[in-house]
Parts: sequence; structure tokens; C-alpha cells
Amino acid sequence: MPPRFRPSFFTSSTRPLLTPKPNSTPLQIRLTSNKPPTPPLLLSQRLHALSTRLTNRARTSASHFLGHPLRALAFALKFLAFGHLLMEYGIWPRAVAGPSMLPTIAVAGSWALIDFTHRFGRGVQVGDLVAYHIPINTQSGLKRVLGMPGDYVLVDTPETGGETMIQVPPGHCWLIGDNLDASRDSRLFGPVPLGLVRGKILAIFQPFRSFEWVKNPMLAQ
Amino acid sequence: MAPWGSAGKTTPRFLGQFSHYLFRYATWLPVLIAFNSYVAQVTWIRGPSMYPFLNPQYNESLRKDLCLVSKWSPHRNLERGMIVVFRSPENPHVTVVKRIVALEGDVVRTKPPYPYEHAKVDVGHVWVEGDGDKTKDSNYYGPVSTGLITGRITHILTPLDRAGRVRWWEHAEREGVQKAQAS
Repeated sequence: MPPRFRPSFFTSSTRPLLTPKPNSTPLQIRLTSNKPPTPPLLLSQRLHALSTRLTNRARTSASHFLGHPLRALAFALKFLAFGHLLMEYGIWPRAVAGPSMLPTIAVAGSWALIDFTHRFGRGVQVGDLVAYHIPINTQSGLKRVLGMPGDYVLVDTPETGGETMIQVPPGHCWLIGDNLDASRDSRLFGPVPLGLVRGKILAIFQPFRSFEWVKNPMLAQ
Repeated sequence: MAPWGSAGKTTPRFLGQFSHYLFRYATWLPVLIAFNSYVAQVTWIRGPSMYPFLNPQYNESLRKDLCLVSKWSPHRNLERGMIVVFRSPENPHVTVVKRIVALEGDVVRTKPPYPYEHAKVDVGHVWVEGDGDKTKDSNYYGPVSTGLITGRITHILTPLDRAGRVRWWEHAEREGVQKAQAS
């Protein structure tokens, strides 16, 4: 097959090289191809070309996996790992239950929008709601931050307990439920390492009923 | 040819191929992250806290031990003597390597920085100590919650003369640990 784009002076021509064409300005040399210019495509033609290209591409992608189990496996692995990455480090709703946060969160039926970028206590302030791994078992909990490293906190329940105050050790936080009577929190298991903090609660909602952004009472004057 | 990487006809050839391969390798990053956090990881051991077992030449050379950390179900089946990797209770962004000395319910005779002579290990916690003298361990910050444990060291990879499986069960038990009744 001959090359398609060939300058005019290589093609067989009866005219001698570098001679002006009959009806043109004298010093002009034709460097374009000899092919007649293609007319611009109609819109319908372009759509047809696009659909053909897309279906061809779909066909190739199906055959890309069909005879190749390893390729399909690798694709599934990548897909799952990417999903896991999003689940682990993104912002996701989780169902929450229990009486320990009662004025703020109902006993059942509530969901919390958790920002997992605040894991390990990154950017968490006193007054925030955090989700955390309970230090004495393998479950997760949701409590309010009463003290960050260096803060002084009351060890026992106010009014009914003792008056002792301790300083929260470095790398720990003091977590307390809003419903003091029905909450197992730092009064029971002491300061919680920030490494167990999973994320910060952005909003509390009940699907199709209510949605409320969580405001930090220490910041909202 | 991969279906997604066949560059458009208008893209220059080098750019098209470059972005194609960049994308193809970048899609493996999440897999790598998931593997490192749930299956296994290779880490350098820094510091003298596990002297003489790990980094025995920490004060003679800059050579560090390369270890294989198993990340598979790190909270389960913990035993006394295992070498575990966990987030420091003092700073969650620092990972430390220590040996488990006592499990939950055990009573430990503590070492100097600890304010009390004996400590009972809480439920869901372990008592960890370094093998060497220069170590900041449970005698300093108390029992460590098992939720902080991210893995356990199963193999030493380099140096080659000590490479092999970590036989933690052959390590001598620490004196002064009164084991709980159940185990």
C-alpha cells in the first residue's frame, strides 16, 4: 500500500517541479496532499461514528475479561480495595443506638454521619461528638469529648460523685455520654487513647424524618 | 490493548501511553493499602527498645532490622511473649513494637516508673514491655488496650544471619507475672 499523505511534488505529474500552477500566484508551492478534501461530516454521521466506536469499545472490554480469569480477578480486587478505601477514609452514615446520649440521640432509629478523616483525633475539639473503639471490648461507641490532652476533668459524676480532678494524659481524651445515668464512658474505663478515635460526627438524622447538623456547644455561643 | 487506555487519536502518543500506564499502576495503590493494613507489612525496626532480640547492634552500627508484620486479626489469640505492633497510647501517629508480658486479669509486679508496685491488667488490655532497658512501655503509660494493636511480628527478614521465624514461645517468661485463673 502506498503512503497516503504524499506531497504533491513526489507524485507523478506532468508539470515540472516548482513551476507555478496556471491560475495561482507565481511563488506558491503546493505542499498538501493530492486527495480531494473530505467534506465535513453531518451531525447524523458523526453520531453514527460515535456510537460505532462506543459499541466497539464495549465489545473489546467484554472480551478483555472473558477469556482471562486472572484479569477479571485483578479488576475485582482493585475495585473492592478502592471501595474499601472510600469506606475507611470517607464520610459515611452509620446506625447508632443506645440510651447513653439521650437528649442528643434517640435510643433507637437514629443514624450518624461520621467523618472518618478525623480518625485518631485529628482536628477534634472539646465538645465534639466522636465515634471510637471502646477500650475494654471490641465494640464501637459514640460519646462527647469532655477533655483533650492537658485538660483537667472531673473523674466522677458531678454532684453525686467525688470532687477529684485529673489531667488528661498526652495522646488521650476524656469521653462522656450526655445521659450520665445510663452511660459507660471514661468514668468507667478512664481516658481513651486517641488512637481508638474513629471519626467525628457531623450530623444526626433519622431517614426520611429529620436531619440535624451537630453543633459544638463550646463553639456556638 | 486495554480498553480504557487506548488513547484518543488526537492525544500525542507519549502522553497517551504515559497517562495510560500511570492510571494502570495507580489503580493498584488501594490494593496495596488494603494489603498493608489487613494482611502483612514489611517494616524497619527503629530504636533500642527490643534490644537484644531486635536491633542488637543499635549502638554499634546504623543497621536496622527488617521485619515482617502480620496484620491478620491482630486482636485475637494474643499470648504472653508475642511481639506486637501497636499505636502508641501517647501519640496515635507513632507505631511502637513491644513484647506482651501479661494478658487481661494478670497481676504484674511493675518496674520503676510505674507509681504502684503491682498492677492488675484491665479487661481488654495487655501489659507490654520492651526487652531492653531503654524502653518506654506499660511501666510508663500503663496497660495498653488491644484495640490499639495493629499487628504482630512473625519474621525477621534482615540481617540474614538472624532471619527467620520469630519463636516468641521460646522466649523466657518474665518474672513477677501472676497469671489469671482462666488461662
